[in-house]
Amino acid sequence: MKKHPGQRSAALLLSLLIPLLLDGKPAHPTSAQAREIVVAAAISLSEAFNEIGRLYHQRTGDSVTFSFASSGELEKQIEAGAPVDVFASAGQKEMDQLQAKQLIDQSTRADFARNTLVLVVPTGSKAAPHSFTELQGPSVQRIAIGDPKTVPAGQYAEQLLRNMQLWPKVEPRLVLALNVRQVLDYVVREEVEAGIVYATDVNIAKGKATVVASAPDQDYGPILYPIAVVKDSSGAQAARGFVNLVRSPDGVRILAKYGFLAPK
Amino acid sequence: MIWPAFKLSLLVVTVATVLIGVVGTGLGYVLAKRQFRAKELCDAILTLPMVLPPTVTGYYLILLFGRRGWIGRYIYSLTGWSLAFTWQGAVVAAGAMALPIMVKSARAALESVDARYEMVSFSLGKSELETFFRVTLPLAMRGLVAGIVLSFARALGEFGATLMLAGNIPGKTQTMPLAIFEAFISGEDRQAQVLALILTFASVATIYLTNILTRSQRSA
Amino acid sequence: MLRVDLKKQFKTNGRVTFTLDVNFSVQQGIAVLFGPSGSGKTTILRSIAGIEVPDEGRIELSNQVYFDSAAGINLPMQKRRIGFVFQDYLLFPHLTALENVGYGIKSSNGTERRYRAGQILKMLGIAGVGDRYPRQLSGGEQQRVALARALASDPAVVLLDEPLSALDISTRLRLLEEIVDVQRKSAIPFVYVTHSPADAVRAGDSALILDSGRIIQEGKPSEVFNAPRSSAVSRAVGSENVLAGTVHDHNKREGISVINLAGCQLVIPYVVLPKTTPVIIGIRSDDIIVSRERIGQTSARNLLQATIKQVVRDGQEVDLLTACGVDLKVRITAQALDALDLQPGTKVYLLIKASSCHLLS
Repeated sequence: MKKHPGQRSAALLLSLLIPLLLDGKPAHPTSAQAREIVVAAAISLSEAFNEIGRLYHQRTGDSVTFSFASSGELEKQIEAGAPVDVFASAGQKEMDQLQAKQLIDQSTRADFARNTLVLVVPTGSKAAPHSFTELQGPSVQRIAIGDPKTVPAGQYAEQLLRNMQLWPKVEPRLVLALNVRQVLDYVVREEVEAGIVYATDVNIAKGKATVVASAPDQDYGPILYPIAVVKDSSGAQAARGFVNLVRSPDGVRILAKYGFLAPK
Repeated sequence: MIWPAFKLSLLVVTVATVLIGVVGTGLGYVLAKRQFRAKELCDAILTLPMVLPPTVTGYYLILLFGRRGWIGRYIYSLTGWSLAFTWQGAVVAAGAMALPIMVKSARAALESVDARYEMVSFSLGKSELETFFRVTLPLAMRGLVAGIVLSFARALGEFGATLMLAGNIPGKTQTMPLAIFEAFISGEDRQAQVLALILTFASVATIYLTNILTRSQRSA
Repeated sequence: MLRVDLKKQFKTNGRVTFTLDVNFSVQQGIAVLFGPSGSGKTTILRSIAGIEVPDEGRIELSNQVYFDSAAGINLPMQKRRIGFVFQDYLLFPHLTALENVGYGIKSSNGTERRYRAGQILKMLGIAGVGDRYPRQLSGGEQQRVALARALASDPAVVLLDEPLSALDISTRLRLLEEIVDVQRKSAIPFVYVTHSPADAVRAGDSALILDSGRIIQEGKPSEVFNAPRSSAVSRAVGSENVLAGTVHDHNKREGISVINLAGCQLVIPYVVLPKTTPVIIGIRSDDIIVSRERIGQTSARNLLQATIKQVVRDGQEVDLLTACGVDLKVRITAQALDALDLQPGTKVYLLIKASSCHLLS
C-alpha cells in the first residue's frame, strides 16, 4: 500500500517529539532513576561542599545543586518556600529560626563542623594593621566584616570586637559585606585595610590576603555549623543520604582538608 | 533604619540629580547642536548604563573608581581618599545609572527648539552662550524638567550599582532601596513595608509630575 | 553704505544648478530685490547677515568689512550691525512683545531697555501690545513687533525677507506704507526682498531684478517694471505694467474713477476710496492697443499719446517701451510691428479700456 506523503511526515514528526515529551523528570521518581537535590549552604562551605557533592554523585548517581550565600539570606529564602532539600548554616541562630517555624526535620539536625575567625590584610599592604588592637590605628580607614544582621561571620566578628573593647573605636570604620566571601574580596581588592573572615576562607584568596592575627573562639564562639534536612523536601531520602555523607568520615576528611575543625 | 536611609536617599539623590541635570543638559546640547563623526557612537556609549544590567555598570564603576581603579588609584594616591563605600560613591552610582535618561531627554528637548530662534538671537548680537541661556534653555525647559524628574526617580530606585560601589553601610551609604533589601532578608517586615511605601509614593508622584509636564505644550 | 559683491554656487546632487553672482550697493532708502522663488534673493540677504557664507566675494557695510574671501575675513553674525525681519517673524514665543523688542538693545540697564523698546513700539503704532505674547497678537501686530525688534538693535541696514507675504491684502497695504514711513524716519537703508511687483513699485526707491542668479536690471521700480530693457527682464518682471498713483476723482453715475499718475491720468472702474489715496494700478502689456492715428470714437475710456522709446524683440512678440508721462510697456506681435512700421521715436496713441486697469492694492 502506498503511504500518503502527509502520513509519512506526521510519523516523522511524532517520532521526533516523543523523546522530548518523555524527557521531563517525573514528580515522584522511583529509586531506579537519578535524582537531584538542592543544598543551600553558607558561602564559606563552597569548596568543601562542592567536593562532597561530587563524591555524593559518584556514590549514588544523584546530582546535587548548590546554592551558596550568607546563611541569613538562605534562611529567608527557605522561609519563603524555596525548594531546598538540605540547609547547612554557619550559625545556630538561622537554624533555630527555621526549627521554630517547623521548617526542618529536627531529627536530622546536627553540628558537623567548627571554624575560627582570623584578621586578614591585603598581601604586601603597607598601611595594614598587625593585630586586632591595631585596628584602632589612624591608618586603618576601613575594616570589612559581614553584615551582622544576616551574616553569621559578621555576628561573630561583632561579638569578638565588643569583647575586645574595640567596638566603639572600630564601628565607624566598618564596611558591611553581604557575605563572608565579599569581605575577602574587599580585602583582596584593597578597598579596605583589613577584614575579619573565617580561617577556612583565607586560602581561597590564593595568596592575595595574609592572616595577621587569629582569635581563639572563647571571645565570640564557638562557631558551630549545623546541618539539617528541610521538611517537605521532595527528595527526603536522598537528602538524608547527603547529610549522612557530610557527617561521615569521608565528609569529615574533606572538610578538614579545607581547614574546618571537628565539632566539639 | 528608616530615617537614616530616608535622609541618605534624599541627600544622594538630590546631589546626583543636580549633577546630572547640568552634565546631562550639557551633553544633550552637544549631541543636539553639534555635528561630528563619532556622534552616534558617543550617544550609544552614553546610553549603555540604561541598557546594561545595573550590576555590570556597577562592575565598571568599581573598575574605574575602586581604590585600585583606573581613576580611583590616582585619587587615592593624591588624597588618600576613595570613592568606594562613601555617599559620594552612591552619588556616582546613582548618577551613572540616571545619566542616559537625562541625556536622552535633554537632547530631545533641545532638538525640539527651532534652530531658527537661535539664528535670530545671533542676528540680534547675542553670543552662543547667551543665546543658550536666554532662548534655547527656556524653550526647552519643559522637556528638561521632565528629564530631571525621571532621572530623580531612577536615582531614587538605584540598587545594584550602588551596592557594588558604595556598599550597604547603614547611615553612610544605605539608601532606601538597600535598606528595604536588608530589612527583608533580616526579617524586619514592618520596616520593609514602610520603606516600600515611601518609595512607591515617590514613584507615583514622579509619574504624575512627568505627565503634567509633558502634556501637549501650549507655547513654543 | 552697503556694498555687496558675492558669488555662490548652488548644487543639487553634487551638480551645479546655477551660480549666484551679484554686485550692487545701497546707499539710502529702500532697495528692492525682486525675482522669482529660487533666484537667490534670500541667499543674498542671508549672506549679508552672515547666516550663509558665499563662495567668493566681499561684503562691506559702513566701511566695515563683513566678508572678504580673499582676505579670509568672515565676521560672525553677532558682530554685524544688521537687523533682520524674517518671513515668519520668528518672535520669541516665551517673551512678551516688549521683551522681544528689548532683546537686541545693548544696555545693561533694564529700565532703559524697557523704555527704549516702548518708544520703538510707539513709533510703529503698537504701543499697547507690549505685555502680550506673540501668540496673542494678530499677523500685522507680529510683523510690526518683528520690525521693531530689528530696529531696536541699532542696525546699520535692515534686511526684510518677504515680510508681508503671510498677511491679507488690506493689512499688507497698510503695513507697506508703515514700512516706508519707518524707513524715512530712521534713515537706515532697507533691503527688501519680494516677488510682488506692487510692493516693489510702492515701496522701493531702487529695484534690482534677479534672474538665474544675476542682476539683469537695476533702477527705479517704475522704470524696471514698465520699461524692461530686455526680454529676460520682461519675463522676470511679468507682463504687467505696475503704476503708482493717487485717486483724483470719481463719477459714480458713470461707474468710473480717475487716477492721477505722474504725468497722465487713467480712467478705471469705480473704486470706493477717498480722494488722494495712494493706489497701484496694473495694466497687462497685451491689453494695450497701439494706433498710429488718433481714433476718436472707441469704447476705450483711455486714449494716451505716447512716444516709442525702445523696441525689444522676444521671439514672435515685441515689447514696445513707451513714454506718456509714465513708462508703459505694450506687447504686440512682430507682424503688427512691421505692418505699422513702428520704431523708436514714432509717436503713437495707446488705447486702454477702463476694465483693463485693475487695482493691484
